[in-house]
Amino acid sequence: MPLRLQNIRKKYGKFELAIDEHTFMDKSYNVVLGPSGSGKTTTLRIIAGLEFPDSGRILLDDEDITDLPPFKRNIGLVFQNYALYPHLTAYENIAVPLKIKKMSKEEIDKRIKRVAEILGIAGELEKYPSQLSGGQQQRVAIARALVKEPRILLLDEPLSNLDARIRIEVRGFLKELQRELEMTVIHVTHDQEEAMSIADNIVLLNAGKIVQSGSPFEIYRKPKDIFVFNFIGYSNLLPAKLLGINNADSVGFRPEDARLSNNEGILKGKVKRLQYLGSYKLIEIEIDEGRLVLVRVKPDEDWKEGDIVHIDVPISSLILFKDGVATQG
Amino acid sequence: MRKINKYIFLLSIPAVAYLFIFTIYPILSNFILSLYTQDVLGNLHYTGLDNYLWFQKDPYLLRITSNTLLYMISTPVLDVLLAIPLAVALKRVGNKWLFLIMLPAFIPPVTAASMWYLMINPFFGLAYYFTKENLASSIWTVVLVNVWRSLPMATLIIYSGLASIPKEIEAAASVDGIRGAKKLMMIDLPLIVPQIMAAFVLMTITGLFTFDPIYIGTSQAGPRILDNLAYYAFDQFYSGVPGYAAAIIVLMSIISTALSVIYIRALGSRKLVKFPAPSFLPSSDLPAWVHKVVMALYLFFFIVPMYWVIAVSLKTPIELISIPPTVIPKTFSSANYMLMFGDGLPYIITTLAVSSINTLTTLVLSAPLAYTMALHKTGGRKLLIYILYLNATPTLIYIIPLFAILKYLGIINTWWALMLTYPIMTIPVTTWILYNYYLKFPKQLEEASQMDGLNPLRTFIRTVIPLSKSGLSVAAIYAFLYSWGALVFPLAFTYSPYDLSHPLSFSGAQTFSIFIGLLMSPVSMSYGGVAAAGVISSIPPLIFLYFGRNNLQKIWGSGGV
Repeated sequence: MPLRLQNIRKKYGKFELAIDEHTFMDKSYNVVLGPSGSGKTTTLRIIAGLEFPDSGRILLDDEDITDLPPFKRNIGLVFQNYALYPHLTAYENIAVPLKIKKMSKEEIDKRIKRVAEILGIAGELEKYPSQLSGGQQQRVAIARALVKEPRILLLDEPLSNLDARIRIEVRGFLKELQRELEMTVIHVTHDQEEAMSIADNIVLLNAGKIVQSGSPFEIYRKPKDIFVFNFIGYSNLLPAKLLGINNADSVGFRPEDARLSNNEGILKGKVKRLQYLGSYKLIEIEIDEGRLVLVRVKPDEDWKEGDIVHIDVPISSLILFKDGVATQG
Repeated sequence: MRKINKYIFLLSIPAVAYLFIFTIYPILSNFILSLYTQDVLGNLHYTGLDNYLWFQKDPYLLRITSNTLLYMISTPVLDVLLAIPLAVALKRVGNKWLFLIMLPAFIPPVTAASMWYLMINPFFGLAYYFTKENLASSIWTVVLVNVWRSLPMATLIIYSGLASIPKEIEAAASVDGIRGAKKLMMIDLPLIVPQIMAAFVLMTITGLFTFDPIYIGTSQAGPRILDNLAYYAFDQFYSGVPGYAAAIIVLMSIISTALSVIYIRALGSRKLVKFPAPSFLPSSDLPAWVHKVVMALYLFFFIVPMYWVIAVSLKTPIELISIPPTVIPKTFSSANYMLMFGDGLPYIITTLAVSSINTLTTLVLSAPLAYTMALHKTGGRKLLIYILYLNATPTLIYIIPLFAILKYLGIINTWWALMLTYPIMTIPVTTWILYNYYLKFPKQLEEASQMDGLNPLRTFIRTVIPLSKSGLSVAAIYAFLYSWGALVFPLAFTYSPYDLSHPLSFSGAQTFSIFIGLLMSPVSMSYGGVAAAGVISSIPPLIFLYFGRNNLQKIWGSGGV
């Protein structure tokens, strides 16, 4: 039981964070995901000790750390903009947490060398932050957080300040690092694709509440409600009546579960737009006045704008919602 | 209390406690003291409103009130009227000239006054060539000195407003064909009303509490001629009538509080006013040479007294009293400097030591306070407004109760008295400067330090201080300048120069400002010495001005509450 949140409440004006109970998975990659204003950053800051909850408890290995200030918690945090000390070299930056612990010079040096080796910044240690690239700065920030060997590593939107090109690379690196060090990582992001690709477990927040927690597969395939269904990946949501289903209000399915043909299907419409995305095509089909359905097809399927098409979806791929909540998955 | 809050409290409490004891107590104490009268033995008796009723009978009151009003009104009016063209020229010609324009503001006030009284001496001064009248007894000379010294700050405030007009608005006006005087009336002035207000009110308070020029001028003009309420109150206090002095100070406190409220409102004001822009106003830019000429005229006004004091300081004793006075010294002599250093040494030592120590004390107290105010909202709006209030409140207000405290502590006429009281005049200004500076400090660095295991106290020392060198240096310059030029506190709390035969007693604490006043007095009448002392007293501030020249705008940068 590494990190548990119990009955956490934190109010900011009209917004309230309310987490009744959550346990983060030990030695695995946890992602806290949510749209902006969902409370994910507040959750992270509460775990770090930079904010204190109005009520509730935070337990780390069954020890109550709710009232501990950040500098007394065994938690590392990598800030979104890295927050490196501009007046210190990379080496000195990484040394700060160790110097505070009154470690010997040799021990400090040994630890810094080791962490720099793991992070691939051994050659940059004498540089100042302003002389480092964004990616290197981030590695120094990670090194600074890791060097004190924290029980939990928190990452605040770690990919948001990086170029799109190196994002995928860093994504792989972060996961690898977690595996190598067998760390408990909590990574906060608003990017659902990032979350899906990296997480062992996703905690999805909306309006200050945990709406669902589970593996990326569960979140994608078995969304608990319409919010989760819509937030993750491409989705189609239609009134149940359109499909002749009576025991639900609305029905959802993923674009890749639908098939197009000229003659048979549960829905019929006109091709409105085509997006060629390399490995697949995304087709928008207007089935009603203005109501659009997304269908993902192989790139070689040859549909044209204006074509009348039939859409078929296997019953097993349909997700039924009643009052916004999924009734079967 | 959470642990974090405890540390934040520890960072802010020293300065807050100091300000509470040394400002709120004296301000309240004046009210009580004004209800008492001191007898010949020095005992106080409760006499109710007698001190206030004496206002009606006081034979000097009419003259003093009219002098006060004249200083209080003419200083800001002239300052603002003169500052606007200068600020406009500055914006056109480029702010590299700002450094020269700021010179007078950095000259210690007593020195500034002495410079002018040397200039207007009808026999030995430059005035010989212009008038045969003795301007020393004119109250307008006091106004002149006031304006000379406060105009740069008024200009800086108004210029900072002009400089902050968004480029897009300038461009839009230009596209619409609004230029020159028309643009000034239609665009510039309406947008900088808050700055004009702030400058006006600040200079009104300066005018109300005019002190140093009267202190120097009185030795030339004779008693009571130049007095205003501030000087008169001080004089009453000095001659053992503290109750009446307190009553006058209470009256002035009320006026200055009202003015401070307007000042603070003006700082935060976003109110814009429309000005009439009659169609006959030219809508074309004045050629650049006009602005240069305007600038040159102002610089001439600013620099002439400085030139004169240097020239006088280098004249031989004979040449000093030759009539007509020589504009350029015929022979250069170091006699005045020798004389000045001989007698002035104890004053210089005290002033340097006390100013340096106070600079350090001020930073140690105000930097953590400003930091917690900016990043943790310590004290909230109330504390911020109080700091601004203190900024606009002259030190004269505190002297009577402080004198009692210092007397109780047995440290009158010692360095300790000055070291204990000087932060009153410096903490508000440095806190305000640093508060604005720390508003831009990245809070994440503080949080990163805490994540690295530093508590907020160590965070402040190891992360914040190394990263705020530029802010701290501007604050240090101010703290030093205020301490270096101080007059009211040393005048009130000391009576003899530093006792060099018992250096470790640290007793005798008259400062350089007082020394200049003594040299200026009719008894010594040492014009050469005054000039030399004036030059010496200007050197440290001018060194600071030189090093701080690129940060001048930051000094009066952002504002708003």
